[in-house]
Amino acid sequence: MPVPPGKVSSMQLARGGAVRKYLRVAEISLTNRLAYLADHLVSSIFLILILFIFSQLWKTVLGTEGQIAGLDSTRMLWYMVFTEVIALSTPGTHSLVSEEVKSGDIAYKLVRPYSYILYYFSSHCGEYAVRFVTNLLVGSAFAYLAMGPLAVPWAKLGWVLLGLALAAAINFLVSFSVALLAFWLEENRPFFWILNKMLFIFGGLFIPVEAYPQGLRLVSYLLPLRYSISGPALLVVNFDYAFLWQLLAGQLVWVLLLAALVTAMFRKGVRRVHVHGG
Amino acid sequence: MAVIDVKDLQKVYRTKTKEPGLRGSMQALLRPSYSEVTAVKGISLAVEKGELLAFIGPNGAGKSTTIKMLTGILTPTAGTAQVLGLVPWEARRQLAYKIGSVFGQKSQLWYHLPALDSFRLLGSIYEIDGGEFAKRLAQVVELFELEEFIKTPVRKLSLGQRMRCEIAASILHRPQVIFLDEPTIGLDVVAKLKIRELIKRLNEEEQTTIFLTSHDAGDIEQLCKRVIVINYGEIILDASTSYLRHNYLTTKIVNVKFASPCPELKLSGVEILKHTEKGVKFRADTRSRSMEDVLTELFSQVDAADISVEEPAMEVIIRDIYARPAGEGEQHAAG
Repeated sequence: MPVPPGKVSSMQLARGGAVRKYLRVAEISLTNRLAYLADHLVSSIFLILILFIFSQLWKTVLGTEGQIAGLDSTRMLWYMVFTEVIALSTPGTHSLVSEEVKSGDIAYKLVRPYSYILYYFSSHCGEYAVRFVTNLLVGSAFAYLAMGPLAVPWAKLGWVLLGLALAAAINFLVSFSVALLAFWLEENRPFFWILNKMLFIFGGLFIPVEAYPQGLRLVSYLLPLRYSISGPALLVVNFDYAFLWQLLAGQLVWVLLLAALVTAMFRKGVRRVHVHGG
Repeated sequence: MAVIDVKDLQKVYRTKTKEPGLRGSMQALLRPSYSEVTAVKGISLAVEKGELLAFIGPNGAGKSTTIKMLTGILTPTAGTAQVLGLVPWEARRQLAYKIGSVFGQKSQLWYHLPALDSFRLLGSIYEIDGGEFAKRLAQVVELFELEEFIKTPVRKLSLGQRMRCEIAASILHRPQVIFLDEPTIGLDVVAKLKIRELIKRLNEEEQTTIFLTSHDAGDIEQLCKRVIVINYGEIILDASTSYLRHNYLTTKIVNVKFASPCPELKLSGVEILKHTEKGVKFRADTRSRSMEDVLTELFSQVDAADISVEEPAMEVIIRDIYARPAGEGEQHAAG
């Protein structure tokens, strides 16, 4: 029987519509990203360039015997494949949100029956999936040809994927929190620049943070970035259960903390939209 | 019963002010100063179920602020409002399921994907059951004649086709009230006519209450029975469209291109603005002489190859409302 105008039937709510809407957002974001697939593959040249430089560097520095944080030259390159793939696959959701907040266009999103944060998280995940898979294919192909295969822990793939998924969530929450600064600051781009540089160092983009001097290592252990870049990459190339539990625990704590921070910031910021119109 | 009921609604914005130059910037940083702007000055209005209402005014008049308050985006400084029995800013999410909105050039469609993908997404966002969504989609596709281009990526659609999709997207969940903010902006004449026809059908066939804002006097004349004019945050006229037409939409600028050269032309009761052998441009006031009379006299002297009629601009209508207070009878000026 047709539902009268404007009425939401109990049936609609009972069928998990709330979850379905976010899955659909992720799906459409993924489909939308596929429209750019050719552009994306072209931009993967940058990834190959970086990997080429570092493959030469690790071959020269480490030779056949040398190791960094327990990784030989082959696994160091594979480590970098994963850190770079994670970093390069992170979509520009933060710029989009930042612009929406600054321009006041966020108001038009608020008239829709969804959570703004979950909407963008779902959209972020959809786009991330496409970027991750294409970057991983390109990066893996290069690493395989340049340094040889990686002993993939196939039996533990579920844990690895969980670590990668939590890493994507942390990346989203960190950049989203910086984007939300636009509620209070006229210009938040310098913060993105700082965040980006911090990712290089404290995220362990080039070298596992375990190889850092004690002071620097301690700082990176206290920040979420290590759990979103270095940690999951290290898990793939050097799987170890003790490290897995430590990583997952850290990731869960950071996801909860950052989710609370983002929610609090959004609530406070959106109150300004309700009062001042953006 | 009124579906929109507004009483003494007021919105005051506090905006940061800054003196020019470096010194001003430093001062603003250390001791920020603010000024208050009253965007909406205590307006009251009621809209009945099934009405097609035009809410018009120049830029900065308070139209968008009012719509934002009625859709729950903005919290008013004072006054009350109810939309479908809900206080918008207190029950924004609940209200979202019952209302629809199209904000001029703010697209809700995914640019690189066919409109159908966006429709499916909106079906999920509004939590419409699969079978029911399929039925509703078929209805909307038929009503808005979207079959031909529903699977074409939005970026490849004309502006008119895109706007049809935008409005269709906003009615998938069967809203009882729809807010259309400048739905015909930037469209050519043909596309405008199509959008107007569709809005009218939507109102008649689904009894959807439509709250329309527009700068285009043609939208109002051809669509709405009632018009509210807002300026500087105050309602300056709340009247029937026929009243507005007879009292304020009386001046027309007519452009005629002749089929063959006509060096001499005699037209009484109009102000000739430009006359060449190839055409004429004149201003006519329908209160002093009907357009039919004027055109009959014109066509007795020339054959027209092309003709266009310009409505007075919104700013002119508002100037006239201030200059000539509303008359008697069913119509009334407010404010």
